[in-house]
Amino acid sequence: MATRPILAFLVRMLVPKRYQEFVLGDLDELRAARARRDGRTSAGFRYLLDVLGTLAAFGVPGRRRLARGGSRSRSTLLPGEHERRPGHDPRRRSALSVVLEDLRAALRALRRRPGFTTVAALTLAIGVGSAAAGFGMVNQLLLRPLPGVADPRGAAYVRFFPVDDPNNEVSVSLPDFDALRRAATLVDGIGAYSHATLHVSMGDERPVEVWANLIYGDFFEVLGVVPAAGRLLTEQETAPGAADPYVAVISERLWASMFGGAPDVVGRTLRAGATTLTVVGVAGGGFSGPERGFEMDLWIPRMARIGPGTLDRLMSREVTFAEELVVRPSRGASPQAVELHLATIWERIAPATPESAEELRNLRPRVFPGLHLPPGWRQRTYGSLALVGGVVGLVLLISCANVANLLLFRSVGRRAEVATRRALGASSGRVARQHLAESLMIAAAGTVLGLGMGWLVALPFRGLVGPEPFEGLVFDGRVLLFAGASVLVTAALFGTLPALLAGRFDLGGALREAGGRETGRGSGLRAAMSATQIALSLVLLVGAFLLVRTVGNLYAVDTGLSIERVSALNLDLDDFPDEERDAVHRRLLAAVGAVPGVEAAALDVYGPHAGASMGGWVGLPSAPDAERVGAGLTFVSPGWFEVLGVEPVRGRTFRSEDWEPGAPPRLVITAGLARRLFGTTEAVGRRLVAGFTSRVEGEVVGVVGDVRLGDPDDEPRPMFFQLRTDFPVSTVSLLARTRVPDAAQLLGIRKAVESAVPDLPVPDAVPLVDRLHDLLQEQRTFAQMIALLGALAALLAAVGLYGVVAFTMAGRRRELGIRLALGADGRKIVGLVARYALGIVGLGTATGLAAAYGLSRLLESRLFGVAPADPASYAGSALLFAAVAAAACWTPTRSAMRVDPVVTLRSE
Amino acid sequence: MALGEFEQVILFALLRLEGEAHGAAVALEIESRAGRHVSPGALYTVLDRLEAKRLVTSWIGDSTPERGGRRRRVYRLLPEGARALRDWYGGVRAMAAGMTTRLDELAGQEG
Repeated sequence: MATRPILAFLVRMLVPKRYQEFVLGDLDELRAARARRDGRTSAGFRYLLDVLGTLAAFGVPGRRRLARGGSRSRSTLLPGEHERRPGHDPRRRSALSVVLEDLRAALRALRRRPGFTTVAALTLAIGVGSAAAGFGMVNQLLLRPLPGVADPRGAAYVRFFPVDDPNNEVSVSLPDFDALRRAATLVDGIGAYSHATLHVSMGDERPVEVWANLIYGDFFEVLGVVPAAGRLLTEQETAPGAADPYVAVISERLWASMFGGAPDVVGRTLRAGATTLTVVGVAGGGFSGPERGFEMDLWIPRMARIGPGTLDRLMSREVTFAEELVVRPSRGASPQAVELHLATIWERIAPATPESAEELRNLRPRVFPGLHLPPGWRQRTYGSLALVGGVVGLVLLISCANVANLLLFRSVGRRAEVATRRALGASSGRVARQHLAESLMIAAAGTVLGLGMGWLVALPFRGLVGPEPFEGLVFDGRVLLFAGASVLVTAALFGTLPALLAGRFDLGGALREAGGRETGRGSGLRAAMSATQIALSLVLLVGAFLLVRTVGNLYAVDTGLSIERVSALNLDLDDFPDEERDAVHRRLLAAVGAVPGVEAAALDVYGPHAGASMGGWVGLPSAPDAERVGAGLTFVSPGWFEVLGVEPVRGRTFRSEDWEPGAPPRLVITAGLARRLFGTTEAVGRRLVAGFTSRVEGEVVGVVGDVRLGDPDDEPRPMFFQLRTDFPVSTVSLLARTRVPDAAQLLGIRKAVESAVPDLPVPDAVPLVDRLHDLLQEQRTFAQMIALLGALAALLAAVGLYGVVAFTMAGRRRELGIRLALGADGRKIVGLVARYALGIVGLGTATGLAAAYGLSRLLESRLFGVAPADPASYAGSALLFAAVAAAACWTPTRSAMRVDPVVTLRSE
Repeated sequence: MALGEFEQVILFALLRLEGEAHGAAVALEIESRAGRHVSPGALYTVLDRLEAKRLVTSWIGDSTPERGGRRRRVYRLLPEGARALRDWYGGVRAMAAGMTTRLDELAGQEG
């Protein structure tokens, strides 16, 4: 056992020397005797108990009678000072008792200076709290195991990428997936899943929006989910031709919220659109799907959402069917081996894919081991977390520097005390050890406060960092361990430096001085530490400025749309057969248009800022296919342009006669697309071929200004608009411009839609402004976070500066007194303090701005409309800190001016 | 001389071991007889105290390979220790005389 030497070492440390040999011998002998009698395991366990019992017996004070005469003193003498007392043999004292005495002495020392202790512990708490909050994020997103999944590390995601485009994830066709699953031998199963939102309801209750995995293959087997009630879905149930695909497994969450945790949930039914699903079980262990950040409440067979017509197309290999795959590699199979294995199989399968689906042929599978964040989110989330880590690291560093400085002031102030102790016989090691003990006590207080502070600091962090919102700091074992470890490291950092300086100084000089005055030595170090803090906090301030400006810019972007007072209500019409949809569209539009207070209404597919968009292609009818141009598209009703305030720059937008049945196909294109195709916006009257799923030839009736329908920081995409008649996507978005954007109006719209499609669950209408707000949530959270940390850092730096200036000026009291006595006026004194403070602030600011300039390019990808070297941000940060610094220097300056020469000089 | 409970147990163990034994032997004796786990550390603190009361004496003994070549410290029960043990045990025995049946009866009763 490798622990034996460690345990033996502990015994040597703590057991008095004259017993060591016998105790260690007995320990070994007992172990050997017990191993003969009870076996090795039991003997090993007993050995551990023996060692712990021995340590307890010798280490605990009060039982320390073995040490003979180690009477506890209530004085402030340090342990080492006993050394010269007659009849006392320090070698007989165990190490633990010495440590305990060190700690007691430290506690007494700290209690005598409550102000210092409080400031130091709070400063440290801010640093440790920030670090804990940052770590809490890493913990939540990366370290916490995926709930309900057996051994998430042993499973893997599989994604397919085109050979020539390794960033563009592509799905596979259903027959290809089946072939892959049958041929794969290095895995214990392959499951496929996709995400969908369903509106489900029980009986006549109002439907709720629920995220669902549409599953296929060995989904639950691969994930190793255990049912909390009923059973899970089998592979046969998800296969095409299954007798009853309308079965569902629900989450424990949905079980509680929809069924009130009813024990007879199995067999109950849920309505999802026109289909009725039978609940067969509840997934246990809090299972919420195979991806962190995408919490699912429902699992149903893929086939439950596929009509007979669609199944034929799926089987033809021309269209894809599932976006995501999960596998569980067999025991001993490495992810690399599985990847190679799947790639080999794939090369055999791929040629079966028809020529028409060329993009599905040249694919390569990639394996992403470990189920936590889905592959598409990993890079970005790691980047965010690294940035957060760096920032909280800076705050921690600043707080460490601050506490180190505070301890340094103390060590200077205590020179006389230390000198006395040294004269009484404490070695320099002993004195240094006491400083370390005091640091440890402050560190312990800082940890406890820091965990509370971490919870507080984490509050404004809550929001999007990766795919899921950060929930705030959760105190689990890992977070506690991290806080403890970070404090230990920082205690070593900030405790050792003052300890070293305290241990090494001129005894006689300090005794002679006796007043504990500043002697000038070490003051350079303190000034440098303060300047460093200022520099670090400026880095954060500059970052915060840049990010806050970015958020401002994002809201100020001219999207080409006016979305105020416009709301969107998205519906899924896949319960209606294709031929009925046009009639439903018109019915919906009429119903919403008739709501009092609605000025204009229109149809779209997703609507602006929905986080989803479509892409197609356009080309000249005469041109070969190779000259087609990719472009964004959406299907709208004629009023779309009026609702969103998009004006034509050439020609006109759609009119109602364009939407009459039998009207010839017409297109509206954006200026960007017109320039792309024709080099000019003069495109009215030209004919174009456009394609999404099917090809349409039509006349361009108008050109409109460029619009940004997705994220406001995306460049406007060349786009074309088609009228919504024979539309191939089942989602429809009802856009309405209202006179006032209040809740009653939104409710009115929903009621109108409900009456138009009585069989359909209808969600709430959402103001587009709210949608935009949601899209920008990650950027907002990030800016808030950095701004908060920057403010904390500036506060810490200001406290540090205050300390240095106040302390230095106090040390120069005599000089100030003489100056005042010789006739210096208040202005001279202010100048004196200001010169000193300006030196520190100037140095810190210059270094900080330079460092910020160097580091700002790390932020570049997160900035919008502002350069990393944005002068306003740098000037703003410098000015802001200058104001803070002036406030920090105010009190020290006043007390410097109030120095009474008579009193000061007499006291010297 | 007043004896603590654990002190009595250790003195009896020494008595059982022919009047003299080292730490590990005492620990094993107590463990096998009284079913009580004793760490060497706890043992030595008490033996040290007993030695200070001059109830036992000790010397450095030989070493064995099992001990990693480390020597033993052997303790012997001194007459003063035997007397203290006898006095204490005599008192207990006098108090217990004729009471064992009643004791078992009481101890056997439900809470």
